Amino acid sequence: MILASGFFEDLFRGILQGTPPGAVYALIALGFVLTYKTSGVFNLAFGAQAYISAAMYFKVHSVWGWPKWAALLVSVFVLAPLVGLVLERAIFRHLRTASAVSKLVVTIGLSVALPEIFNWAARFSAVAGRQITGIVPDGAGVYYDPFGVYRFNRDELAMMAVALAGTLLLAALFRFTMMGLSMRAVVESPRMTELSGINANRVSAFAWALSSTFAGMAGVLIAPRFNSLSSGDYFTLVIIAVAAAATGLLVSLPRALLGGLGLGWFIAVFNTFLPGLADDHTWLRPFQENLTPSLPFVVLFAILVLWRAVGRQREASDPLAGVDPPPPALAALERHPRLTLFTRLFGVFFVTVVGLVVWFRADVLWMSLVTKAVIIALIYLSVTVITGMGGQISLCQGTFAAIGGFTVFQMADRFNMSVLAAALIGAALAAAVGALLSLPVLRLGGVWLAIATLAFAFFFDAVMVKFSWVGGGSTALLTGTQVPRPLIGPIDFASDRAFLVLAVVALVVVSVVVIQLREGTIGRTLAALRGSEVAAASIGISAARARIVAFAVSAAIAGLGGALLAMHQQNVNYALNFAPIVALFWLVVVVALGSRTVEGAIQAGAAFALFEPLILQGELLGWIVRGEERLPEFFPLSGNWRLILFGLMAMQFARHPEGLVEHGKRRSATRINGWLEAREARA
Amino acid sequence: MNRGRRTLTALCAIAMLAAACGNSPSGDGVSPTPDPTPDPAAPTTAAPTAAAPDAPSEEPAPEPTETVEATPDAPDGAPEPDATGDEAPESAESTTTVAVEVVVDEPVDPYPERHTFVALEGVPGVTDDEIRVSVVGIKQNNPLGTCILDCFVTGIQAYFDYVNDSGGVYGRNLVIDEILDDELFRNQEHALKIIADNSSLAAFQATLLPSGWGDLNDAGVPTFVWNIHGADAVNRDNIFGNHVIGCPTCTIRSFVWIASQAGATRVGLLGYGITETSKVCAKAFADSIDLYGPALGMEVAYFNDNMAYGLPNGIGPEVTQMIDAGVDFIATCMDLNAMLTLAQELERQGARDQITLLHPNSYNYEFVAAAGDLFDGDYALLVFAAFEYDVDSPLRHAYDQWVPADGGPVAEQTLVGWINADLFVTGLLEAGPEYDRQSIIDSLNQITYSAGGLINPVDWSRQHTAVEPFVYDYAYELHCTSSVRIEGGGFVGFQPAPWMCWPGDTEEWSEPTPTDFAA
Repeated sequence: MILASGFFEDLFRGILQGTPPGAVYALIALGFVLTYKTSGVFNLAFGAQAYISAAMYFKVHSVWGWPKWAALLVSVFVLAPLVGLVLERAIFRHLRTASAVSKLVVTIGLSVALPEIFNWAARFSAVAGRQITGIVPDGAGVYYDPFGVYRFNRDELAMMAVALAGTLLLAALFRFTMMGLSMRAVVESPRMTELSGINANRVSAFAWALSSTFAGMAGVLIAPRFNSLSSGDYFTLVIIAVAAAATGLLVSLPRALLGGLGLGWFIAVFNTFLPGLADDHTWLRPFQENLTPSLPFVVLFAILVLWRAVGRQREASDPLAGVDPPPPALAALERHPRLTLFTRLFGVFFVTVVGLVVWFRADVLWMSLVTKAVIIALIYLSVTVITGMGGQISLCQGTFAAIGGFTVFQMADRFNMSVLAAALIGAALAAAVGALLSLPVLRLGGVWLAIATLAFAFFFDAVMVKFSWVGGGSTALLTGTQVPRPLIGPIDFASDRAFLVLAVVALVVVSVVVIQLREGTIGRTLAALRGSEVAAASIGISAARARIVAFAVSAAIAGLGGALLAMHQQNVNYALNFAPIVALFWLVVVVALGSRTVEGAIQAGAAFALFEPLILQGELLGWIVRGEERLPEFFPLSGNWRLILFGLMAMQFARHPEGLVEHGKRRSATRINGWLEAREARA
Repeated sequence: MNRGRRTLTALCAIAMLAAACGNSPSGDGVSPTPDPTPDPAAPTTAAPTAAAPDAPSEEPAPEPTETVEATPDAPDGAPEPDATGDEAPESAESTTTVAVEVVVDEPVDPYPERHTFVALEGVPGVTDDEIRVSVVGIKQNNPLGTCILDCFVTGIQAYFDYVNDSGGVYGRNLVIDEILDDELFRNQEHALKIIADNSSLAAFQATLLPSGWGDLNDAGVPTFVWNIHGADAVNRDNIFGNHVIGCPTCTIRSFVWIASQAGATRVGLLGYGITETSKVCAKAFADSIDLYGPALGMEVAYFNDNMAYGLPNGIGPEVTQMIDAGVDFIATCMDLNAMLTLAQELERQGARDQITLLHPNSYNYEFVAAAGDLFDGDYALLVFAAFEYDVDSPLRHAYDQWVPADGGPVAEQTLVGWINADLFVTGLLEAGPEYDRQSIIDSLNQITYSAGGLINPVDWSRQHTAVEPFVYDYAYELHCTSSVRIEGGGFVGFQPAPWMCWPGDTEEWSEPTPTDFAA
């Protein structure tokens, strides 16, 4: 009886302890649902929007010394809706009929760019130990203990109250008001909504202002829980809260609320009981060790894989989309033969000139940057396969690349194996993991598949990397994860030039493989599935098999690239190269520039590695004006600009979903084709 | 043959070719096997600081002639901790003991050629007027929100101003050529830029992801670093830190001693599950309590090295369990923001006054002041002589004068920059007026350096190598700590001397010896 009483007291205390973080997750999950219901966007930039308002609130109240109500007014009721309106007008209005995946990519870009733009404009940065004052008086200093078990402070109570009130008000808005109905209608089909006499633009703008205001309020309410107020804190919470949003299938507000609270309760109860149980039952120790830091991601993955309703849920699609023209063929297929010839000749000339310049003129920095560009381009080809050809979004390409890098490290370190052989083993291992991962997520599509792969990436990050047979464990603490360069007979690739040649050869081989795949059975199968899964199935195409193959091939390419990157840097450098956030960056760059072609991947690789040093640092302009001293004073540009431009790139993707490179090629090809045809006609 | 078979055949051929290949022996890809025996010819005497060229403090470091026990009345075995942990056993001011008594001979300038100008050709970063260096560090995207690059640069610049004020070195002024913010992810790029530009004699680095250290090492650039990255500095003879990482898996007597000073009996230990560094640190703490604790009446009452990074879910259940387990002292291997979350949760659960915290990363005046009295009674563990102790060293006095004059805070990061800069100048002076990168490196790798008593002396002839438990060839000669207590939103010294030290060639427990390396 005493045991039982102790158990229930612990359980109750655990639930109470999980309530404040649960309320945080609930607020964010509600924000996800609100945005998805009103705009069809799975908004990973929600945390960035929340951060902007929280930072503004801090600036206005704590730095400028304005009263709290004024700070709240400025940050939540002026700035936040303004941000929402700008986002709607500049980006999401053009994306209404785009796929959920396209919208997701844009929000990934915004999640990075928005905080940077704010920090740059407001001269704001994280400060350790920064105490954020909540909106209620003495919010962190006054505690209430309603059950005599665990105390809540005023800030936490305010957060819980707003989460509850927000759920009720928003549910009422959707259920009982014309605006709520209109917002849902615009998400379903803006064109049909407008046929009913509703101004879709106005409704959409209101929806974004509303959801952004909610994000701002959530940001200000959550802020007192942080001790430095950095955008990274908000992004972490967003990733965790995805699990809560998933329980509401992105459409149910009450479920999102319960999902958020439930996640907080589950983690707290788990942490209350499992350590003690693991002490008594040693077989539980591995579960405790590995699940504790990864629990939100395991929960998320389990929800997506085990809950059948997720697989059955269909994304909102415009009924009028059926009359839209199909996506155009690749520009290269529509070029005039002479233009094709000229393009190829120019390509050969350009590559030759660049190759010669790099070979004879590049110093150690540029040799390294170009080599990195080549290897990143190779990794980006994995996105070409899974996204460009397969039409699926994988947010764990960095994880596959890490598998390649760690395999090379382990094989060389433990068995002194040739790193090239180890790289192939790493690619095979990544392929196997990719195929295995694809099995449980086969029935998922679109945004859910992306979320599942993101959960896997964070699980790998939280659990797998620390294993000694993956990341090196405590041995790596002493000597790092160093990787040697390869040796083929008498050719030693220790020199940067030799290694660049090896990287180029690898890129060429993989490019050929990708082109062969695209033009072969697998590519045509994936193209058929991308066009219409139902139609493809009706002619006997197995979607499951094709997706498994696509995942495996894509993972293998990423694994090979990761291995080469580790060899190039002579270190795996996991946090630097392969962390989940880095892979998000990769994805946006590739799809924004062009994920359907090999050229797109190569140009994205070049942009990723070379844009900043070449353009932002003024190297190219300095060469043009013959001397760094002649550069304008604002060079080199701050690193913030890279992230801001990254966001702008994502915005461009909103306008040109086929990718900027493909868009440029199509536009120029159309013009030149017309000119050539006119010339031929005159002749 | 169809397309698929051709592709498969080609891939098989590549695989067979790769399998027949080997690995390049060059570069630092393969960790060189450390020489198990240190060079017996290498001098082990502490080198004098490079500071204050014309000041009377330029005396050579004297040989210690007699050592007097600092705590002669201390009984063998367990120390006598204060029962509440609220009071220090002895204040720094009240002690009458002297750690090291020295006999000083005639003052001799160890570097008589300090101002000798010799024209140098082809030495990177050296002109007839200037000696230039580059600094790389993190400012933007710093997840900790602490002042790193700016403070590090301030420390270096202040030291350079100090030296330049007395005529520079070898007739040249010391100049920071360029300051590069690696933005967390661009360390290697900036390291390669320094190598490619070839316009700096040396590099200074204070970063969180040191991906470029290997390149600088391989290029033979003397590199002076904020050494929080043992794996990236180890076995690299051209990398010189403000301290050496030592042995992350070894037991730590200093930690147990501080716990005993706090009157700890039941210790709670916390670490992040996501980083191996944090886990290993927590494990080393636990091993230390297991090894030394019984004699001191201490035991591990709670251990959790699986905390989620950043504590997004709070730390309520863990604190409850520690309270239930009767924990009276908590040591963590977590960042300062997590310490604040932990202290706040202890306060919420009404246990803040009963449990003392050991902070590994909170020696930050602004941070602690902002927390008010929340951390009162806690301890902070340092790897340099805390500012609260009177280190009678010209280098410390100059730091106190020049860093504020340059607008910098008296803080860890400015001191790291200051020490790194002094080590660089020491290398220059040791190398003589006809120096280059390699001679600086070679000179430094023959000396023992203590930054005028600000750090535990590092014997650079042997301490580039990783240290493993019970192998003392590459360990510090003395294992030391300089720790402080937090009171009233600030720090106070409680040790009788800047350093409390144990023999470095054993892991046996003994009473620490109060030590002043500046004496």
